[in-house]
Amino acid sequence: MLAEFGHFALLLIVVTGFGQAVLCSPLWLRSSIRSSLLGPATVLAGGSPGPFSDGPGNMSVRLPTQDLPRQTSPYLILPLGILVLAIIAEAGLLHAFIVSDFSLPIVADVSHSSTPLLFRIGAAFTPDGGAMVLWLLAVSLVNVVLAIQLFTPEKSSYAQDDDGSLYHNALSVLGLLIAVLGLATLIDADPFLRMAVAPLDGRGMNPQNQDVLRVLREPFLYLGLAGLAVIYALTISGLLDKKFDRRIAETMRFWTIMSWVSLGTAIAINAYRSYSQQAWGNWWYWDTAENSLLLPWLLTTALVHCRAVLEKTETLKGWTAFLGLSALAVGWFGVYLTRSDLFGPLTETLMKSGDSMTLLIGFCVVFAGSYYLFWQRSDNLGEPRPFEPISRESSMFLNSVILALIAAVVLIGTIYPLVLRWLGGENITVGGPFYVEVLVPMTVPLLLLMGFAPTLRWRQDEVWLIGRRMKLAAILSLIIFLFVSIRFIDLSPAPLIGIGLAGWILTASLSDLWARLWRQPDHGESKYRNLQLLGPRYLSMTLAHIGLAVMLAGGAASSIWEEQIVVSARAGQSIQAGPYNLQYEGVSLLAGENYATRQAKFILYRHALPVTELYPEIRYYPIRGVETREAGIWHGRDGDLHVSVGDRADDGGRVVSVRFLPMMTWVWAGMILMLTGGAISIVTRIFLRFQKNGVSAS
Amino acid sequence: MTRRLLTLIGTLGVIMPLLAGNPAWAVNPDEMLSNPVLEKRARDISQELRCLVCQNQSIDDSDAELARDLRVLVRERLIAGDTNAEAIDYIVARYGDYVLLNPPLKPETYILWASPAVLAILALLAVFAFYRRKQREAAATTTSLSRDEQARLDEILGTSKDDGRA
Repeated sequence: MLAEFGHFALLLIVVTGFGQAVLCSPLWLRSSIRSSLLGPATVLAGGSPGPFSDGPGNMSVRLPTQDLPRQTSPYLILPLGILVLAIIAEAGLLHAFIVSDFSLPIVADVSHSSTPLLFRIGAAFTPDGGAMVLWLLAVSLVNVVLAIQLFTPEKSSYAQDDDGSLYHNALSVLGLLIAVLGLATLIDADPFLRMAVAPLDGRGMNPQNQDVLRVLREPFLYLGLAGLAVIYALTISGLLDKKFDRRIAETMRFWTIMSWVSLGTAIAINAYRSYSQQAWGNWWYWDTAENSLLLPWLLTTALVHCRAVLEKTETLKGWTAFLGLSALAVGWFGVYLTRSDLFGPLTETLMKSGDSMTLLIGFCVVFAGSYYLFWQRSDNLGEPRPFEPISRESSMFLNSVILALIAAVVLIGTIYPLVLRWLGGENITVGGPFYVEVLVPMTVPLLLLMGFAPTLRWRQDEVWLIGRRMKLAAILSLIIFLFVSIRFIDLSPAPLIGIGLAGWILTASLSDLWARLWRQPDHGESKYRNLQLLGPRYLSMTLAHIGLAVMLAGGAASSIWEEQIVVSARAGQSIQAGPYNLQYEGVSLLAGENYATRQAKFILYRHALPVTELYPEIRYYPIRGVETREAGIWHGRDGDLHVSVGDRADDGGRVVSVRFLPMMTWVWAGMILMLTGGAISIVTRIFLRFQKNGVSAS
Repeated sequence: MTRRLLTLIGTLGVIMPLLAGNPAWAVNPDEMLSNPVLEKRARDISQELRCLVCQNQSIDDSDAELARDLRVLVRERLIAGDTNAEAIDYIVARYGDYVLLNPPLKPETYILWASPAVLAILALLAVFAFYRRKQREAAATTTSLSRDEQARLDEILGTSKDDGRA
């Protein structure tokens, strides 16, 4: 019964979404129809200290009718209503999964009565319909946050330009997006349909997804995409009003970082799962699902930088607007790619209801319109302020151009085989080797730039000044690079260059930090002034850059110095890998909650001292009749030890694969550092916002 | 230690370029060839071939049954005296270009292989045009300082010279 409530809520979301699109639109708010029905829009007095009371100078220029209502109820009630409806829809779906209501085909397809509770919930996120409901919930959530932003205008230096139109437009666009997504859910993959005759039990969850981290991937992914929807809505809003300016950039700040962190977390989870689950596995395969995560993240990274330039100097308007539109475009298209039957065998989503045509049509209509608007408004996106080719603005611009270029290449590589097949050509594969060959030459200038870009001055800088600032870092990293490449001359160049570049970014970031900390304070300044001047923005940026360098160094080093041993082992045998020694203790048959497992036991010694015990497994899930493998992993100081077991070998032993990946821990630590950098920025942003509002209210 | 490391690298010598991450051994010990040179070649070939039932995994990474069959097939061809190229051709003749992780250069893939270079050139041109426009706009908007202003500026700069940049 709850599922029917959910179904109805989903239907209402579409209607309410359209309602929000119309009612929040400034066109409607200013229209004569509304005036005749409700009287002219008025601003309630005595409310939050909005920008209207800011400067008396402003009031004289602006016509009273232009002031849009900030406090009349529909603008918070509608988003709140949609959120409640989305929660009901999600709750209805989750309930069906939790109680294993197999009369819903979606539950019967990806769940089973023996699936543990946590994974029954996780299973609700993976099929097309479930993913769409989760996406809707995420967009509804950010919709409410945006509406709250509308009612608590920020005391910022740019706020006096704000008449609320920015938020009204954005809410209107978000309402439309919600309606389109809701419609696509209902038409393409309605999760609440019922079968006349319910099967006795379900077909079971995809065992690959039965993992705590993997369950978390989906919420992060869709939260990231929802953040991109807000960025998109704000961009459209600015374009409509012909005011794509620093005010928008300021509002976008939270959303770009939030999306960047969320998508980054989803990518990190994906990589770690590949690494630990596909027991012989890599951590990146360049497959469709991974690329469709990577694409929006690349463009969001570009956006994080461009947005900063726009806020600071009001330049790069057109380019930032283009990225703002494109980030959601690639994210949306990626969602379509991962679930479309057009595009070949996909293990991620197991339920195929139709071909997600509505999602594709919605995508085409929404973005054709958006890019047309962008083209129409391109004259308003001029660049009033100049900057020199050597300047901070310029470095951020080039960085985002290269990132967009990388994204374009990845996109082409991802869809090329699909388009070729669709055109009737033969099947081809675009795999890792292609991307490496093509992308390495593009990443080298990007990473070189990354080292000195944060030290550049705004507007204009001089080469000799850069040289003076970067002298130490350049020399140090060159020494590292030369040392490594002479010492390991017979290795292929790519990882060596990677280590060199990682050293460059690391030393450059640290030397910049050092220079800022030991700057001679001006007269009368306290000695903590330097620390204050750094600020959360600088710290989070430095942390993210250092994180990337650490990850790069780890990835390069582990690929060079990896040790791999595959043996047929017997109980008691010990296997040497790097500084570690693994003693194989044999395999025992155990029963998991919904699987049987052959669990091997290894005792790990480091220089003859016992460190830990590792239990790699081969699990057998009888419902699907699928085997999965779980590696045993030890994250040590000097690298990862990765052990997995295979079948019985012909000679009666057990196939054991042991890998020692030096500095692999750095890859994971680097990812965590990058995400922490972003998270610091978000937390301080929220904190400062509340602090400011608190101060202004008192 | 270093020598051991070097010899290890020399014999195994499996270096995947940076971004591809780390190759793994899906190879079972009973598949391996006793001749280390042949085995090394077989590994190299395996990393170029796709496991047909997986997503963009090489047969070297995959533990699927079909990948195993292909690995064995590659080794059989090498034992039969094929060169690397001949062994790959043998597999491609049976499974099509689909098995190649790195798509071959032929009329169907011209656009694919040309696109990165073309896009990079277009991006360069666009960036160049952007700066040209920027300069023109700057030239149009910037007015030069008047005599008095210039004198005042020189004075300020002159006096503050010894201060240096803080």
